[in-house]
Amino acid sequence: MIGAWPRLIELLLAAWLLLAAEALGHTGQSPLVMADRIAGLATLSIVLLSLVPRLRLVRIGTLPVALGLGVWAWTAFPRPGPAGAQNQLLVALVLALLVFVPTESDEPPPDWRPYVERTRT
Amino acid sequence: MEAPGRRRLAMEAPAPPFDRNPSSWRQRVPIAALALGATGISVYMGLYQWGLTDSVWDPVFGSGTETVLTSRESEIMGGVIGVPDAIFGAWAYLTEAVLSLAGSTRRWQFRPWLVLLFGLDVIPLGLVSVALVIVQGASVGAWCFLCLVTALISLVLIVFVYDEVWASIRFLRGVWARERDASLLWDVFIGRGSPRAYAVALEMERWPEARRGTEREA
Repeated sequence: MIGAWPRLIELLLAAWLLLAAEALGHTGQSPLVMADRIAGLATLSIVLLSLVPRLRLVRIGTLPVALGLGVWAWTAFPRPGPAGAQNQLLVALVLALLVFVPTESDEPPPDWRPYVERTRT
Repeated sequence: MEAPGRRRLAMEAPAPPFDRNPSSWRQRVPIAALALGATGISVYMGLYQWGLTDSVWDPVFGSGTETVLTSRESEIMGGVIGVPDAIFGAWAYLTEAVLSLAGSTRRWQFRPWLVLLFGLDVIPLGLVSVALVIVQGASVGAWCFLCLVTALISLVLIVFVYDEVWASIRFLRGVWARERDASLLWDVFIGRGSPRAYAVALEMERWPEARRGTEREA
């Protein structure tokens, strides 16, 4: 389960997006709040689905979510935008980074495992 | 599924042409620690740019760091990126920390794509960030001590990282030289093991540099 740390961080980021409007005080700005909620729920759903071993590659779905959120936050306001938009940009950047970290990344990829000497139990 | 031969690949085996394992935790944890240190420094400077702190510590250039962080150049960069440039720098160092921790202790062979992505992140982008710090300092006419510290960290990281990247490139070259098969090369690049990729991996373990490393570890 330690190998699933990228997915855990993604879940925390999804939770942060869902709470960001209250935490950063932009509850009155409905487009920002909508973007936070949509991206948060999408990320949460994708990451939870990807925890099912057969669906592990579903996690790549967070990349379009991150790109959509990032591009929206970058274009919707004059830059540098309000705190909520900057928060979205940063969350999008971190989500886009985590896509590249496989679950169980401390283990060899499944196809290589039959060829590896196991020293751990 | 069992391996076709008797021998299995050891996770801590040296990576030719080196007689050590550049994907070992002993090498990668210090990289992550340095990158996280640079992330922390950048966040500290970003807090000042956000107006959340009143001053920035600079033991060498006095108010130089503050001058650089509030310069027109810095504002332009922040305007283009959408967040303060120091915060963007923090993200860049975070990518180095995260990518250094991802992957097994034989990732140079099992996940070449990850090692090459990491190398691309650290080596060319590190050089660009060092150049930016120098150009910004020269253009503003003031120097930022903490920016120079992070630039120095970038250079140290390049030294730490190059051997793992080189080992991955050597492995991919070995696969190509032995099999001349583009689809196999792609499979190996994206981390798909196969009997043919395993055969190349075994062959590499017989190279003199690898043998020297194994004997030394034994």
